Amino acid sequence: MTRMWITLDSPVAEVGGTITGRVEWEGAEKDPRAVEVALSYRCSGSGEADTGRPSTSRAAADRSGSYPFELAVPDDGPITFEGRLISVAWKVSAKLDLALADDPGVAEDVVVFPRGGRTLWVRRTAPPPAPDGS
Amino acid sequence: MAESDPERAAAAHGVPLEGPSLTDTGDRRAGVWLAVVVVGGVVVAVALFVALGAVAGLIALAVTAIVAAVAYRRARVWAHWENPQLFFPSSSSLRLGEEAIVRFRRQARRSGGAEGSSLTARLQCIETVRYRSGTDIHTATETVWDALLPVRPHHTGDLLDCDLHVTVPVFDAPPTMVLPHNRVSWRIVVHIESPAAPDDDSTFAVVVGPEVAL
Repeated sequence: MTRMWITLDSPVAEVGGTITGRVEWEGAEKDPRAVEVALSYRCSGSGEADTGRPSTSRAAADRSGSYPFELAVPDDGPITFEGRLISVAWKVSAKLDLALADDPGVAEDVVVFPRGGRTLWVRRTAPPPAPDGS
Repeated sequence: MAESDPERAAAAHGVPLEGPSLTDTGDRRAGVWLAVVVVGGVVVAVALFVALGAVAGLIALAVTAIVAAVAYRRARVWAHWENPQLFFPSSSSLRLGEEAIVRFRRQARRSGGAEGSSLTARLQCIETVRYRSGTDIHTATETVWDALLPVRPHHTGDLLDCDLHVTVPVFDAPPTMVLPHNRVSWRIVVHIESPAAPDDDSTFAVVVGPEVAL
């Protein structure tokens, strides 16, 4: 049974920035041809879904191993958001490419902010500070 | 100082008139299409009259008359006003959280044509989705941001010339996004009321980039 996991340096990024991290795996049933990591978005909601996979990375792989990756976020987004008719979600996914077998894979959600907006968004979602003396 | 010269008035308020600009040419396009429909409608009405009788011809004539009334209204607007323009101080694309002063200008075709005119302006963000139901493709829209813009008029006479104070929200609406089935668009809509012409809306599509101005 293949175990596979992704460790992100940060689950948030800004448009025009990068998502970095490492994918690790062990116990692959066959020799993989490669490991492939992709950054993708899915825009869904009331309409038909639009998807995009603007950044991928691929490398040779053994039955166990790790692969550090750096994936570019496009300059023009889209950013992560949840509107009334439309929502956009981003994820990093990784899979082992096995010959004549199902490819084991794993995915982690990431959040893409507008350029210069990461600090504002993090501050907005942070819990309010505790009152003095408590 | 009387601000009779729009160039001088613009300079006094720090708004360059030579920046990037957007022009709404909707009146001319609508006029051409409505004229085509009216002419075609009369031809169809006459043909139906001859081929099928009075009832079908009268229905076609009634439809043509309604389109003609709309065309006449558009023609009056077009005869009274030049195409409206929106001037931006630096770039015609805006950012989240940005405050900008943009200048709206619309020239009347005759002297004094802008006298007594007033306008209101709105900044709107609209989500548009396309979806399939059976073999039909439908479109749904939702206005997710709609704000009245403060307006400062500079000059009237034969020229309607106003500053629009645009403030793009930071958190409450997403930036412009264009995908095959999902779209987020921003626009500035200027509504003009004039004693000498029908009320008219000018629509300018603006781009809000995925960048925070703060």
